Amino acid sequence: MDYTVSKFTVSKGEFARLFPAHLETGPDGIITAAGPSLVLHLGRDLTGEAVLDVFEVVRPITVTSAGTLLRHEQTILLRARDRPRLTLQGVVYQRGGVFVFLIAHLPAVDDLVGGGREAGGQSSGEAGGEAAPNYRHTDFAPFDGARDLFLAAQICRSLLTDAHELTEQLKREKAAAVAANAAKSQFLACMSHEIRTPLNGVLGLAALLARSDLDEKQAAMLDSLRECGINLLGLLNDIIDVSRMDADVMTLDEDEFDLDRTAGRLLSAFSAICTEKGLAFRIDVAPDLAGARLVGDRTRLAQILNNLVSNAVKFTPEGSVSVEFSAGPPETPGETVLTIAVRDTGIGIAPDRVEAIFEPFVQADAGITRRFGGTGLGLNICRRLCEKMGGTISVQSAPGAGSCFEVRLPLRRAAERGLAPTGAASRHAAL
Amino acid sequence: MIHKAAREYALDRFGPEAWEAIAAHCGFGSEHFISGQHYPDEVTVSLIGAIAEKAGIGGDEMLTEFGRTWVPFTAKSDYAAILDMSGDDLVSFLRNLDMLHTSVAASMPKSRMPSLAVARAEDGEIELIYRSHRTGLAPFVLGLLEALMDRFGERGTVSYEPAGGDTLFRIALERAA
Repeated sequence: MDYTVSKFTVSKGEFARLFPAHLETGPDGIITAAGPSLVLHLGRDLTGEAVLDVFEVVRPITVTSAGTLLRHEQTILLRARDRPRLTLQGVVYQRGGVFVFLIAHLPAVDDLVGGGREAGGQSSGEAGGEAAPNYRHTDFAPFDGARDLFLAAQICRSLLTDAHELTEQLKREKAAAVAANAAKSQFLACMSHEIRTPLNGVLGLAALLARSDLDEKQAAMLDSLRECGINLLGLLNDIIDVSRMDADVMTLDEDEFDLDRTAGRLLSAFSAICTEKGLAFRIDVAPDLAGARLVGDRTRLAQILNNLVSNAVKFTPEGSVSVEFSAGPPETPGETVLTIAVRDTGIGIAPDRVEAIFEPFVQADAGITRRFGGTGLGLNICRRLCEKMGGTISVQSAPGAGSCFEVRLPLRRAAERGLAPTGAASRHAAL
Repeated sequence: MIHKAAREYALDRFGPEAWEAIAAHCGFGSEHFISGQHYPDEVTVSLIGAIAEKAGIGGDEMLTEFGRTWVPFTAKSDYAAILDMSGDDLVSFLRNLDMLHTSVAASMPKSRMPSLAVARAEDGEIELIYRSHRTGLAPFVLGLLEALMDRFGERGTVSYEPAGGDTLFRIALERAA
């Protein structure tokens, strides 16, 4: 029969293309015609079978007979009894004793998100061994968005597969990189240690030699030899530190120390070279820290200070270098956030290089290495030491305007020993 | 997908070392092989060009060969179900291609899908109108159509010629006497 809407009539073939999964029944619920998609997927003509024998009514749940199903004017949800993955959604219309189910395929979640097929188009046999319906474009009404949903799900599955593969690949590459880095660190630490031992012997013997009777030329040559040896020892120590931090085997000591004494040692260490370069050098300790005893790794703190001040002196051709110790607001009771600002009037750093200088083996630019030497490990060690101590390091700088490195370290204050702070700022200055 | 197919083609034909060299030459990394992603045409063109150069064949010949590999490659990928949906015989498949492209485009808004419309299919001859935003890909379509004939167990010849602003493809199927 033809289907007519007002004066618009479509042929049975056209109707089948519009609703490939339709059903037609009489008032008794016996199927009189079925759309080509249902015939294809259920593997038989269906004509003469009772609609409730072929399909289970999932919604509405109140359906108990063909009569109540055919009278239902809302959306119905059907599932093929012998093929539960074939789920259909639609409505029933009645004209002149003929009931027409206008229904569409409703792909199951498994069909959409996985389990429907395997690569190569083979059904995987999920859901109790039942293969997923092998849908074709022609199974869906031309206006049925379920087809787009089905395709989108397939694309999504492919994307998830790719993401999974990429993740696994990245994991493998990361593991390989970590292993290679660990091997490198171990090798460097081992070699550096092996080199450091005889080097200490060389330096010790050079010190003994310096006490012997040398002429002026020999003494100058020995000075050069010792300076080279000390530089090499410093480099080896840096490499060992980096390797130990890479391998996460560096531990921090907890000592009580006097901040004034730390400042005093710093002044002693750099006064001579600052005087030699004609630089003003001063160290200020804020009044509330004067006489303070703190608890932390004083050796590593001294290493940070030496690195920063050494850099400041190296990159400051004229002007001054200063170090200020102050106490920031504590984050927890009994703690002092020791703030150290190392300022210089040196060559400064270009804005786009400010972050990079904390990376290992990186300096502000290649010309720096040529002009000033160094390996670019010092600031990386400083940053990692600060972070290991729970602190931070940052820098403000501009080319030609000098630099200010600020270190913030949370340190405990040692128990009072009856020595009241002097209340006055300690000040040390050269020049 | 097309990058994965190109990678598989190059791996099969030239081996892993040559593929690594081609990928490095074109600046290809893992990020260029994610399905459903839109990549600029020039990225894909550079890859196909590099493979053609390695194969020592012209660009058109390479595109045709690549078109021939596309269908079997897709048939064993996650997109196999999408391919299957389009039909069980050559004519049905070709008739559904536009629908397939429309649906895929709905999920990949940045994609610029071509249009292939069956203008005639009778007496063992199929005429297709091909239209694309891209130029120069007719040899690729030629390879695709040959591979589709293989998929559906058909034998025949494919030719094409300009038709207005489009391209007219003719498939002459061999029919048993």
